Amino acid sequence: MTRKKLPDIDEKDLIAWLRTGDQEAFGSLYDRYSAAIYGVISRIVQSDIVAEDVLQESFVKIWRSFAQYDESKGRLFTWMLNIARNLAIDHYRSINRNPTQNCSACFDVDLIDIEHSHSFNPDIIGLRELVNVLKPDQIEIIDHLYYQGFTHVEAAEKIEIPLGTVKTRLHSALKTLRIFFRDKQYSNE
Amino acid sequence: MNNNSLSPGILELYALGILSPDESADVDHILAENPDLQQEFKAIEDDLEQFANAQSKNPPPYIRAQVMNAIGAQQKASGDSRNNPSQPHTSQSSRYWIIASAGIVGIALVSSLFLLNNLKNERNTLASLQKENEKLATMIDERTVSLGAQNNILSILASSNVSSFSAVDQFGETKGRLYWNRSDRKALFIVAKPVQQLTATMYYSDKTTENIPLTSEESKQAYLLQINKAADSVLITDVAVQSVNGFGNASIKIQKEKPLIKRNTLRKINLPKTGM
Repeated sequence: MTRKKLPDIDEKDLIAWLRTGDQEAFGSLYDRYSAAIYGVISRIVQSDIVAEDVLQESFVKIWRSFAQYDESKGRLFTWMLNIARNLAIDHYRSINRNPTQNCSACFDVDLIDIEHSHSFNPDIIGLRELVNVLKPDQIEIIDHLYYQGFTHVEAAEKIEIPLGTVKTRLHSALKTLRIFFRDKQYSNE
Repeated sequence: MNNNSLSPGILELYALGILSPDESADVDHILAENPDLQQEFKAIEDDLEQFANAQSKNPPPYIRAQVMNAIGAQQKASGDSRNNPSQPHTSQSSRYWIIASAGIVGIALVSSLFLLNNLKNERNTLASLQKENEKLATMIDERTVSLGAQNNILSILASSNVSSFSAVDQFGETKGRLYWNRSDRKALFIVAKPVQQLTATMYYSDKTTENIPLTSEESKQAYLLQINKAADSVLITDVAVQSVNGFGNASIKIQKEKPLIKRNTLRKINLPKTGM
């Protein structure tokens, strides 16, 4: 396999390279996705020390479980992110020992501790902007499902809304984000 | 689930890995037969990646080295165990050393895992303690502020130079009490029920005006007024009270010399009946 430098390599080639068991390929995978995954982990566990542990544990698990990844069922990033999110939620719950604790702060942009964080990617879209485009009920759903790891059934019980409403709110939240990202892309072109 | 379509939100839940195994299997089946849904699923995955990118944050560089070391050790351990049985002409002595080495590697791995696990537990405990510390620090700050506020209140109430007056509304109902310390020109307005906000304008006898933000000293119920000028009399007026149920106004006149204020000269507080 020809070793390409990122970001030239596409995901399909990267997966094929990873299947060879080459550690350099895994290094490339880490370089490509660690910042996005670390950002999500940090928001879930709300502690840099724990976030570092969870990031390391996530990538080791990704390496160990890579044979189980099935390209036909979704993108590599989605699979990796779900591994990392699940580990982060487990850690958060084990530390706080209260799985039903309200974690609305997870989506509170004011809680981003810039002084104590390492370095933010300057190219990212501001999370504050994202929060502004979502309605409060959409933020609540993302908070429960994405950051707190509730199932849709649990979220419906917690927020006291019908199960169908949970699904439609999640659907509309992602639609809103899609329009936002598309407009952002056009405005940058 | 319908074979040709999925209700809104199901694909998003599937992408987040939230669905039950049975539900996921159903979605797998439907997706495999529906190219339009496959396109939609890809778009959702793109949305989720962009959402994650929006929160992107560079981890400390040493994490990469730790990850690479960990997978290198795992790869070596699994590679060793795979390669060992494939030696066709191993002597008994060599076999002994291989078994011994494997044992040592095994013990080392178990020890490492044990130590790693301990380290993680310690770090989790540390993180919990840090959270507790933060909570305690916040509580101490709140208590310090509260103590300072109570000292302010006490300094006025304990003074021998203090006079107090009832503040009543137009219906004669007591809405609070005003304490006036002549020596340091501080006044304390204690409202009967907590209010959200209080502001006041003071009119001094020299015709000057001053807007006074009233500081809530304790539980939004005690408000401290500092009268900055040594005027003969001060009319505190336009005391805008923002209570839970609305706004109201109070006007209170304070004179420098005794009697500071006569009961019948106290202007009535005009507050909504339901306010405060």
